[in-house]
Amino acid sequence: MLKKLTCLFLAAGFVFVLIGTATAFEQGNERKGKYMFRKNCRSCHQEGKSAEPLNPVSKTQAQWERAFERYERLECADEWEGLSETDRTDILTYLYNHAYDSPSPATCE
Amino acid sequence: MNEQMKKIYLYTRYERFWHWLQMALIAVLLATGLEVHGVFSLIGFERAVDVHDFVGLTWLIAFFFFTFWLFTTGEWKQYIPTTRKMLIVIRYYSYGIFRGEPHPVPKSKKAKHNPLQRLTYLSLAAVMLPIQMITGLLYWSYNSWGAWGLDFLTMGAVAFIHTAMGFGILIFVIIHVYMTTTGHTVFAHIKAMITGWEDVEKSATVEEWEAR
Amino acid sequence: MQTRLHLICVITLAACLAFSWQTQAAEESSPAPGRAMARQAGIMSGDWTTADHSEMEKLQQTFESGPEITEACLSCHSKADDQLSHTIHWKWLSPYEDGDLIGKAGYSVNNFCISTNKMEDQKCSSCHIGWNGKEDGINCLRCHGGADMDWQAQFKDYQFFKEMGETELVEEIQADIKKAVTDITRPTRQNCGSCHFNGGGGEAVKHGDLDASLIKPKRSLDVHMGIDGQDFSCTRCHTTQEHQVSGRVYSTPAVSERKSLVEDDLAPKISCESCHTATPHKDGKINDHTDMVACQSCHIPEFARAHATEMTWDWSEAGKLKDGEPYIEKGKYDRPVYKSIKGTFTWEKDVVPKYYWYNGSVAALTAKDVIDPSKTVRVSHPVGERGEDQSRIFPFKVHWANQPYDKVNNTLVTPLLSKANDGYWKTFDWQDSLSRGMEIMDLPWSGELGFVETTYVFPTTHMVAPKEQALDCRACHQLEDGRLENLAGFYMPGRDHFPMLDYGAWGLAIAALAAVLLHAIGRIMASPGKREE
Repeated sequence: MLKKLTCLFLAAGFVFVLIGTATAFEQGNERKGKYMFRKNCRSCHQEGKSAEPLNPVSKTQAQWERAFERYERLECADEWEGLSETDRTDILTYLYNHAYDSPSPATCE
Repeated sequence: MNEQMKKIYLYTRYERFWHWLQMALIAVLLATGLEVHGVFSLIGFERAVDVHDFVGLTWLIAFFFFTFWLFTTGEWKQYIPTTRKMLIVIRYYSYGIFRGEPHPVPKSKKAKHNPLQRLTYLSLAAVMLPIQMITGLLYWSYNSWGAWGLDFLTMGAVAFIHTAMGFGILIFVIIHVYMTTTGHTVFAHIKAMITGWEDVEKSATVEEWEAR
Repeated sequence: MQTRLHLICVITLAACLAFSWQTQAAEESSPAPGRAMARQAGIMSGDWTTADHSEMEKLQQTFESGPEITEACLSCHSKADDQLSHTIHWKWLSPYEDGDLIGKAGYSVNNFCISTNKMEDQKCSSCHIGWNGKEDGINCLRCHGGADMDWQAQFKDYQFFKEMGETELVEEIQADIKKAVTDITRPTRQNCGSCHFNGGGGEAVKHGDLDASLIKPKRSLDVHMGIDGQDFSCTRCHTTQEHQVSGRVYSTPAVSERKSLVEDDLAPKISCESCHTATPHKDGKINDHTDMVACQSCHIPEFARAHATEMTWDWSEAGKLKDGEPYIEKGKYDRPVYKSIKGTFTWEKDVVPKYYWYNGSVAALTAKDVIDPSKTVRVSHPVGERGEDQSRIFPFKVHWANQPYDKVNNTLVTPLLSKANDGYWKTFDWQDSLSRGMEIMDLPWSGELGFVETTYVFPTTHMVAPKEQALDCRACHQLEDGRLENLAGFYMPGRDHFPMLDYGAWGLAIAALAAVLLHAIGRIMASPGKREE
């Protein structure tokens, strides 16, 4: 009985992970993303600047993904348009991998 | 008008002008002074201070002219205090007036004030008002005390005297206004201070001390 | 004779009246006396410079590190590093005391992050004007750079991508560096504000009158800096001599002489009176205040009028974790009310200052001073008393804290905090962070941790409101709850009374009124008999 249950759980877990990776975006260059984020986003998204301060831990992985899917709705959509597809993927990769609920959230005091 | 009354010209134009000017100045100064003191709120602290200062200084200047007039015309003699008939006047106001007795010291050109008035007005004009003007001037010139060598003064002491005298004047005003109603009619004295003509009894004689 | 006298009187009175109105009218049309001088002495626009740094040959090179940039600057500005190395901005030590006792880099403590542990704490020294905290020399661009740049990250990225062979990115980064290196300005609000608006570990934490709202303030917030008004930069008032910026307040006042530009056109422009003189008002009576009341007291009615400022900090609450993790709780004004790493906070907006006599000096404790933990400890307090020549009533922000102290030695203690130093913010271990923090300071630590209530003061001098918003007289000249209620030892009209005199005088006035009323009643009662007669 116990064995059967464990099996079921394992199978369910496997399916879950499979679905998860299928929907997740293709990973870009995280290191480049960090640079691009600093250069293009942090210039405004900082304490004392025009926009709400942002860093990777400001949002969860899901929230970052959603923001990047629908960036046209953001106030700074024009700035986003100026970035290439790869730039955007790189930035998302950096933010996603160090988001609040990621295994290695960005350390920022 | 009463048959036994006659009209005499008692108050000159300047005297009347001075009286009513002084009344207006005192009214404004009392009101603004009490406002600064925090008794009520009428025109606001800053304006109350400005008005109080301006009116106070105006009075100070006007008072010099009054003193000048007092001495050049010899009217100062009207303020020489005396104890003669003092008790009789006090008896009149506390007893005789209720019985309708005539005033024991009738007014005349040479003796406008009864002994009680003399004492009151002298202490007012020679003591209270000058003290009030000096303390007021000091209060106003507070920042210059050092330069004038008046460092020994404290704001508290000056304020105390100025406030105390202010209240003294308030009390005088209360009694003075009431006393104006004690003529042969309620408004007789006020009318006299407006027109200059006072009604006095025909039989009234001027006694020797009064004509001095 | 009497008619003439009467006439003279009336004419004189009329003349007095006319004269007083006229002088008032004449004063209204004359400009503030120091303003023209200030205009001349100051720099009104960006056209002041005679150099275009983008044309400088020395700057047309590849910069791979910060010190290379400084070297390029010094090749022309050859005295700048020597000048700067003597300043408080570089040393973080008071230039007015010998040794290393007073100053951020010394033993001075506050009731925010307490101490920089002699600049060993890396988070604190991130505000130092070097390339890498106190390492790698002066970064001229911290104060003179027009571009907003995280230099450490920039060079790190540069090196990384260079090693990776990402030529395109390397070129892009280098182009950004070059652009920033040639974008040279007089210190702007951003330059100064990047540290001074964020003191105490965050925006508007330390100062109630200095925060990011001053980057683009409205005139109503700051009549001098308002972008819809005078649009002053910080350096309009904080004038500089050999890189020494005026206006710092430590044990020595920022100005010791009350001199205006009208008296001396080379006088420092740091005080209000520098431009406005000691008699700036049209109304003489208000000018009579300037020897006792600082301009700031009436003209900064409240501080923190745009952004809320932190008012209390309780370190004793720090260290709580959720699921083993530190957390942050936000409250009113969207500011943190709890941080695991720091404890609890309260924030306030439109704060009415506290008023004290102040001669320009602030006395402060150091980590060496013995305290009395049974009372609230004044980590810093204004110096001055009534009657002292330079002392005037001045508005202050008073910051309250509950901060760690040594229960045996009775001293304020200096924990090592930064994550980078494996301090309290990483370990949440008071014993470890304190023993290491005190060791750096070379001070004894008994191991007995306590928390003591403390206060720390900031003179309020920025965010001067337009004159329409200046305090009404009644704010102070009022019977109860006036702003100067706590200041004793002098008589202030409207606030102070002699109770005995007041009771006595009103008693007499009422008695007089009662007496005349009774007298009047007596006369009325007696009069019918008189009529019958």
